Amino acid sequence: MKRVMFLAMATLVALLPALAMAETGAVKLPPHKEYALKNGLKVFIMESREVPLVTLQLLVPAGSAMDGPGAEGVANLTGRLLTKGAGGLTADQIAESIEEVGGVINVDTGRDYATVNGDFLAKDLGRALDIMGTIVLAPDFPKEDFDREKGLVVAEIQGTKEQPSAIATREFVRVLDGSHPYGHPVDGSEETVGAMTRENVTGFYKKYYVPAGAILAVVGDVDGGKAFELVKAKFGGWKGEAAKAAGIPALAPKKIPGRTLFVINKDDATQSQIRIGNLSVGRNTPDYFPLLVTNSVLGGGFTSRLMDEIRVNRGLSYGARSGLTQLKAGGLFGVYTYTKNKSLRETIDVALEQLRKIRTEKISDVELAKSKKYITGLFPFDIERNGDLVGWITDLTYYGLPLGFVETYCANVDKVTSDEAQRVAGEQMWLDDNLILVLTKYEETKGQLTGLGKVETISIDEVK
Amino acid sequence: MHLCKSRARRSLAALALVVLVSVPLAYAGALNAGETKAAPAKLAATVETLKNGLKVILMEDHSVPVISRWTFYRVGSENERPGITGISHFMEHMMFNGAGTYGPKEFDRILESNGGYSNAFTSEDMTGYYEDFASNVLELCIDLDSDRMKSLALDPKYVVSEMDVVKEERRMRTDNSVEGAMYEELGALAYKAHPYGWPVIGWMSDLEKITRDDAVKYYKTYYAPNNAILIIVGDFDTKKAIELVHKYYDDIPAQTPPGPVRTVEPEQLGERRAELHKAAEMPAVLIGYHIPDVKSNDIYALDVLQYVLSEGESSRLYRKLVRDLGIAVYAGANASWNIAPALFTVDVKAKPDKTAAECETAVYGILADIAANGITPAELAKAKNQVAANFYRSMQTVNGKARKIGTYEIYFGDFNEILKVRDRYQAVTADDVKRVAGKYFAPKNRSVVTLVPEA
Repeated sequence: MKRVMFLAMATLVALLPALAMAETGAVKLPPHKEYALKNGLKVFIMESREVPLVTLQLLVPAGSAMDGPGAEGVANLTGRLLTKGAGGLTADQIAESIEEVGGVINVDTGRDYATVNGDFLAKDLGRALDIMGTIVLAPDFPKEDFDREKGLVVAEIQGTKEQPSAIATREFVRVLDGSHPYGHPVDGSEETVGAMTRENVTGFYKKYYVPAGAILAVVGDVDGGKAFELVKAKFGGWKGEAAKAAGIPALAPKKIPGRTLFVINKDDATQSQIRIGNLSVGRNTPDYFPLLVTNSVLGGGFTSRLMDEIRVNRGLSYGARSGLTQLKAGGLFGVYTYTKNKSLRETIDVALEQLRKIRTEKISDVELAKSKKYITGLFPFDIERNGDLVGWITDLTYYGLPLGFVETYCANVDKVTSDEAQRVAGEQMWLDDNLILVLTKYEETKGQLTGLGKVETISIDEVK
Repeated sequence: MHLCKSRARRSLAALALVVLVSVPLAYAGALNAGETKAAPAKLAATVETLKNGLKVILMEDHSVPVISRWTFYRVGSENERPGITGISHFMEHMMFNGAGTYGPKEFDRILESNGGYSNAFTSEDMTGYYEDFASNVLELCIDLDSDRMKSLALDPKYVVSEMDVVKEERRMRTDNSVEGAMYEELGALAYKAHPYGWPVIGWMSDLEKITRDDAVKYYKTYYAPNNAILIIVGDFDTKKAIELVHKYYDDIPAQTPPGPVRTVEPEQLGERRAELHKAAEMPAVLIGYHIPDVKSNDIYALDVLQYVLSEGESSRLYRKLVRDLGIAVYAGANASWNIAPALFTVDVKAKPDKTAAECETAVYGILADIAANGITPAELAKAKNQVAANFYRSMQTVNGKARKIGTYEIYFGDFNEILKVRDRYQAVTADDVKRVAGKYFAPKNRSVVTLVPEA
């Protein structure tokens, strides 16, 4: 978002916990303790006393991958309904009791898991845990609120069609992942959510909102021992068994062979969205750091190859990047950019040329060193705030990784060799086997798009 | 699409929320929420103005071994004229494309190779540049920034390619965005005279025609040290940093100061309406009311009003439009902070099967109710608690503090105003809120943009 306009004024809201950082960029986490409740809930408490705030995050393995066929969107709807009536309190009462003290609670549902996030003045920790406990342990799912929230979600899904970038990315994932549980959008479709019943939601809640597998992180200006007592008092009584059928089938970390050009037609588009990529490995890959560094060379930061060739040298776009989406059962690698309709093909060709290059030519020592330094130099900023820390704690724990991951992160980046970088590029960043998805005014760009591969087209109105 | 690192980013609706709250860390530690203390008169910062007029503000903070370095220029879209709209933002882009010592591409390449990050923004009132980096790279960043203040290249090749980049940015943010197009329409409708009426990114026809010569003149006028503020916050030694600043910035000559913006927006004497026909799924309405500039004391009551209207799910707009009536999927409000009088906006996205007119009527009902009956003591207390909590959320990084110092310098001419703001919020009464609602939310003071979705 470099060289942005007024929007950037609202960015960078951050807290600084007392992080120690050696000159090498090595990072040390503030002191913390880990507990396990008898019901299976894992609890982490970290004292970070820089500011009088406390941040909480409860991770529950209840992501959209658990939706099941025909009920796509039920995880998201369940998450949204937690705050809409619980323990006999109405949605209005819950909102009031959070906000009257300047607190915030929101629930985010992703593909692997859902998180309940709270941010409060530290003196209100008791209230924060009380509300979080109530909405997670005893949601009422009132019928009226169920109907209202369902209607809102359906409307929001429809509204996404106004956002070309969001639609392009959503459909890119859908086409690549296909019928795998990661394939459908987290919020489901107008059809599936529209047909959803309250019983879908209560059934999902009962099965997946259980303490076994859940992780609670509390970071802030609190006394660790007292905080844990409060956690135990509220969450100790959380009951429920881990779902027997839990587990997400592997998304084969193999490429989809051949090249497909998937076109979404939008008649009023003056700018075309471009996504190029294929299936890739999941979060627990042993190649995490080589992929991180190689991806940074190709499409991370303002001096990456994609940024340099597409934006700086040719003025074809405001932004060009590549990225890895890594989940429990697999992932994606993709190139993301956009350009005016007239230069659609040119931009695709430039991106493909960079894929060819990263696969076939060794990265120079200078370029590799630059990317490593860029990643390690900025890493301290990724763990600055309480909010960042609760995120790292729950995410690492969910994926079975130690919190020490954060402290050895920079050293692991530094270890990556150019041989490893080239190997993972060859294994994960495909050239001839790719989905190329464009959202464009096809009538205007059709002539440019010949010879790219097998073509499939749909209209924006057909997007579900 | 995210083009920068994985930094926190907020929506436009949250803008004022972040801009209005601030507290220096040293001061924050001494405060308890809900407690109002007399603020110290000044921040613990060192201020020095160089002979060429560059104002330098240095604040040490050794909590982490990092530094945030900023340069603010007193230039934004308000300094433009028809024919060169968007040039302020274009200059922001060009500042990364080469100067006397460090040629094209070198700024980013050198910075990233040293583990640093840079970004910048342009608004109606200011342009700000920053780098975040480890403490040991301070001299390099000062060198890089002074080079472009001293001798920007404006290489003809990059003038052309960078303008293409800006046009793509405009296509992305405005032409292919329902929300962006509506805000642009509202600006053009609400302002008959003042430069806030044109978009910060500029009209496309001006982006097509702006020349290198225009940029050279603009740079000479506005990118002078006497029109800039240099801020460094973080882990450094003030004495050494001052020496570096002198070493790199002293020889940049001052320029004739640019004149002030002359035009004053005349009072609006009747409701203005515009329709925007665009491919969209949901009807929407965007309403703007003229409010005073940032130095007016009414700003604080208007901010409290913004909280009461749209902060959280217990706010009036959400409760009424989204929950009770079920006619909207989103409803937000924002009180602008600007050097010249700007707008209080209310932004509603209707449900696909509802109308913009229904939403508009509901909004007016809420505003009229506050103008007639005021807000409750509980609402006032809640807004103040939210302000207090956001104090702490909004600026605990070195970057946030430096940014805050710069914006307060631009808005108030004195960053020490940061310390007085909290007390001004706590002093707002329910009567103040009722009074400003009555004063500014009059039908004849509003401009209304209605989105008409087309298939």
